[in-house]
Amino acid sequence: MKRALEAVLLIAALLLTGSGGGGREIESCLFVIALAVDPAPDGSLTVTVKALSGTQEAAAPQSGEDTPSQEEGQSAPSAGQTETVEPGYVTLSATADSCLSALNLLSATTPRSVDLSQLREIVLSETLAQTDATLTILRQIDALYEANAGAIVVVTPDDAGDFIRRQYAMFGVRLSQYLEVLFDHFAQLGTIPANAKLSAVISAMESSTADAAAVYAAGNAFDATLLLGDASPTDRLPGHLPRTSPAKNEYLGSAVFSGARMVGTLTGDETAILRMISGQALNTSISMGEAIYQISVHTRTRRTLDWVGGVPVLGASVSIRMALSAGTQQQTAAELARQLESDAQQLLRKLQAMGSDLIGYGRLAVRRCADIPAWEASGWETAYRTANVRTTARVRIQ
Amino acid sequence: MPNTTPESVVAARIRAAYRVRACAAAVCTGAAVFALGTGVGMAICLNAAWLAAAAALPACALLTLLAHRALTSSRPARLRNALLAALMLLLAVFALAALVSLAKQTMLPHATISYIARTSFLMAALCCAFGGAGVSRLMFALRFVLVLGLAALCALSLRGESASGLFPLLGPGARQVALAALCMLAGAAPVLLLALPPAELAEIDEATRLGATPGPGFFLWRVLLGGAIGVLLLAALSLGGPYERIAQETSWGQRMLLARASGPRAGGTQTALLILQAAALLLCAAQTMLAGAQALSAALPRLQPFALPVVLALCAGLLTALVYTGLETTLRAAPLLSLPAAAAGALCLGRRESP
Repeated sequence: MKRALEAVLLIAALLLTGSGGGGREIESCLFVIALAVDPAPDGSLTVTVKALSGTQEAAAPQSGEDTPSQEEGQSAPSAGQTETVEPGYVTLSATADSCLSALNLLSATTPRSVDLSQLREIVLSETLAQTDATLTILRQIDALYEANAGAIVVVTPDDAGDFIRRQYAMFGVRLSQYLEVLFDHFAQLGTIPANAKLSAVISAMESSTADAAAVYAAGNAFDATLLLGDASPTDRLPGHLPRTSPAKNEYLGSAVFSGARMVGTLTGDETAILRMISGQALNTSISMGEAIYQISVHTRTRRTLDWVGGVPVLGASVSIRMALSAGTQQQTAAELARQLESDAQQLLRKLQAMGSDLIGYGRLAVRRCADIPAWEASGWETAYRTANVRTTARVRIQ
Repeated sequence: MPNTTPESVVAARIRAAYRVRACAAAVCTGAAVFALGTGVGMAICLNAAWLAAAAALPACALLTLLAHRALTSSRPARLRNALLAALMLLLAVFALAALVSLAKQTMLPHATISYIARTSFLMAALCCAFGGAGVSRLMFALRFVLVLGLAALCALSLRGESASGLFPLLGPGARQVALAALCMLAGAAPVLLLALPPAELAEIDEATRLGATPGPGFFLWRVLLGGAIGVLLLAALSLGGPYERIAQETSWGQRMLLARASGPRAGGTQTALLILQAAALLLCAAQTMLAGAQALSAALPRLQPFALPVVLALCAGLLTALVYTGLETTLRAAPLLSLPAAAAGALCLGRRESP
């Protein structure tokens, strides 16, 4: 009886579990490497994707009469414009009321279904990032299309679609690998925010205890070397660097959010200070005066939130060891420490003025509240803006 | 020279069988607490679900003492066994529903719910078909892997994360935490499988078995450890991100995924965690099915040759019904499992008889 039962179950298992699980063929997917979202004139959104074409030839451009185009004043969605790009990749765009509708339109008008599992970069135009629509767009991309949660969120003052059109793989590597190496490189330099991945940005935007930062990038519009005052090269924003570059796009600094809305930018240097205060500056470099220093792994940072007479005091203390890697050291360790304290204070004041808690002091403030209604009634946002700031730094130069 | 008299060998064998049974109850309790916490607790009190789940631990302790009392009595208890059979069957369905939700969200996102349910049920049924002792012994063999593996993988997954995800400690409020705690009492129900003696001791005479049965402390610390692991897993889920993220997660399977909000959702650590979570839920389903069959044969001795096929058929039917009505139906009914558990526990308080 028992053996008969075992045999029946085994046979049933073979028959039933072999009936398929609804998988998808790889060739039926359109793997998107970069995605851009721009606002369209009539309030809708234009989504541009750069994807693997599946062939080694460049995609031929389609003529205007072959593709459905959007006429003036018409709000009907349009899609399907393809452009000539480097071999192996194709750029497609669609305009619709929402990001989700535009992605659905792209899936409907191509012979393959859009797959965001290999996404490396999401580029938003600054105009769009300054609205509340940002979080909705990112959530739709994340939840409904199973986007790669490690894709980097980038904000650009340029047209986001043009931004990804200008981007191409350099040094003979694949575009996906190029983008990974690119972001790792700038992360090592410490000039882009550490938590600009899609899942981290969405989580910070949804949270009331911290705010999000995305990478800030722009087109490299300069064709000639130009000096722009005494600021260091990294104490600027992209598109204003005094140098030429074979890459058409520059990544430098942070786009700062308060809630779901972009409220300002940080330069590369300010982003480096931010990373240092946040404890995310391991093995990065920082420029101070005429010198560039490499920060060692022995950085210790501490963020504190004290209440003095009912007024919060935002505290940040940094203890770092660094080694001179370029330029001439013109300051002593004590002078560098005082400069760091001053830079950190300026940064915190700037963030307070923007109403953005990038450091995450809200995570310390929430511990004083027993439940969520008490936290929401605590008025932390107002208290944060008017809080006092105290920074201390200790520097050892090796 | 070691004492190897036949009596001591039998006593050691009895003790070993109870040790295996206690581990099985611990794993089932931990899995039930985790599944109930993610399904019901988080929906009610968000990041404070781990605090509400802690209320299940005293219930686990009480039910362990009651089950031990029943275990050491030779008084026939058909009503209690019938109630236990029904309770174990429902627990098995609940564990399978949790496994299906987890698999749908993570391992098989493109598969249909019915396919995942069929596969999960068949895997649990195959575990049962090869003997009840095997499932318990597998849980005993994996006890360190499950406990230490889950702890290590949680720590690895959450490294660098601050403790702010636990705050505010009371989540939406004390009332919601209290309501969730009431619902979480059902997480202690699997402990009642301790009221059934291990099947491998069937050929030993009852007097010898009762004489060698360990005291309640033998079972108590194991069961509490299992429940505590479930509570700690819920705390780890809260640590993974802010309470707003939990409020956004509408799917049961989504809430079971342990990953830092700012960290990767795929990779070796997450895959290993998923395997351990799925294994615990599957073993819980198989063990409770077997306990249900054992209780059914004790309640209706004439049904003994058919007890397991009856339990499997009922389980398959209930799971199929859930697939069509929606797995979320399980979550609305799951807190009510505390009622038959309380009734069965009360029946364990009956007058004790010695052989």
